[in-house]
Amino acid sequence: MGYYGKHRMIKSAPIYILVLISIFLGSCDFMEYSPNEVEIGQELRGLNARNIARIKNLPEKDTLRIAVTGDTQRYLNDSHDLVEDINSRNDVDFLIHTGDFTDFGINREYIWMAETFNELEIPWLVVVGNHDLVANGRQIYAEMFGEENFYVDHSGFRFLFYDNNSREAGFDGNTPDLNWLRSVKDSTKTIVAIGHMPTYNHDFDQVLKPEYKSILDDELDVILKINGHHHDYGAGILDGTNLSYLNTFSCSKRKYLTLTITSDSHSHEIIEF
Amino acid sequence: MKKLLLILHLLPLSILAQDSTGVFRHLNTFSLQTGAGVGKYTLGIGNTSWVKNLELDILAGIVPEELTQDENWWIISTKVSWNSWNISKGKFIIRPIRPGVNLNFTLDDDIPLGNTFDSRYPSGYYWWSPAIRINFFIGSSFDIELKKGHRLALYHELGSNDHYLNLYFSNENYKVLSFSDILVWGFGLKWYLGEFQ
Repeated sequence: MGYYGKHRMIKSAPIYILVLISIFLGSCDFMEYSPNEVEIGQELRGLNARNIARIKNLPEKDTLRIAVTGDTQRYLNDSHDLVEDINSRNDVDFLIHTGDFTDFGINREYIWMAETFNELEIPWLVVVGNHDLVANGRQIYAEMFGEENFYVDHSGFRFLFYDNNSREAGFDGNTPDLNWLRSVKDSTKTIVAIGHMPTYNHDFDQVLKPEYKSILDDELDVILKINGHHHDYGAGILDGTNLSYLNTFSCSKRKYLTLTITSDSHSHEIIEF
Repeated sequence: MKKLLLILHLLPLSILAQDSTGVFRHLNTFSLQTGAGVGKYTLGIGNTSWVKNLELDILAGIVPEELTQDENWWIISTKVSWNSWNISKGKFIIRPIRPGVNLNFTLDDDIPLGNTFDSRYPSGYYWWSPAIRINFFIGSSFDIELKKGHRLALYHELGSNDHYLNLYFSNENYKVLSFSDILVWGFGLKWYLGEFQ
């Protein structure tokens, strides 16, 4: 292809060549092979594990105060304001995100939202939501956050985070994973359970529901189950159990919860921002 | 690079040589592309003569498993680009502004065409199709006439897709996203058979 080397080309269109080279060099960062690809930079990989390590380094306390939000989906601006509001206070130990971190479950969306929450000065943990699992979202969540089922221990508490998005798993009879839940029992700790899907929603596996509720209430002695998905506030006792539940606002409602928790009590407050 | 150019050059010749049915006689472009959201290794065939100043392409691209963390995906695209104006000088043609649209779909079991085709969901559960994307772009091209009736173009496309535009305009006071965040880029080589029109 000798034409590339001939001076006459350079003479005939030098400006265009310069523009073309500039565009090529300037555009490399925008190269993308599919919106569903998994392309997460090192700084945004394994975020839950990093934040678990930060939580474990916090000083031991009798009473914890935790910010609770969820269903951030496409609401990047609202999430940005939520992060600013939480950064402006100094009485929150860490933040729990109840899932639906993204709307379409695509790579750039995960990155944009993670960059937003990474501005938090306190540690933050994300449980997987049904929107996060759409398309190739399960692989992207794994790359960015790690295992779908995990827990963190701090100050005598154990916080369980797990995938209970039964519909996304095609109601496979293993979502939530009841064996995993049984395996993380620790009667020396006060247990709080966090799963995106409320049991009273039709997206939760109704076949697993009685056994699931029994495990949380009777076997693990969970003091509080925290949900997202409904985008709105809710609190009460799950039918037929002694188990308290709490449902968080979508951050698009410009509200979040602060949960105050001790070994034998919990209360919450609605915060507007 | 030489091998890629050879493939690009031989592809049209081999297709046309075997074209006993005449189906391929309308094809006069053959392209090799990367990026633009439609595959890492993408081959295309197309036509420049049906509608004046419009180029039509059908492309098939592969997204390899190291990028999907799953299996290889195929993305099938149909692309229309408009040659709005050009500067011609000797053997060289510059087409500075080539706007276009690319409608594409990803072939993979985990990326459904829509709720209707996925028994997990009730109708309308998710309003969008994970598999189908519409990309809008503005490209440009630098062409060299290698010999009479054979032209090679180096082109690129800078644009975005329906999802990114949706997210961008849903957050319109731009606290988080800037316009450059939603840009997608790709480039390729295209072999044209026949006279420049």
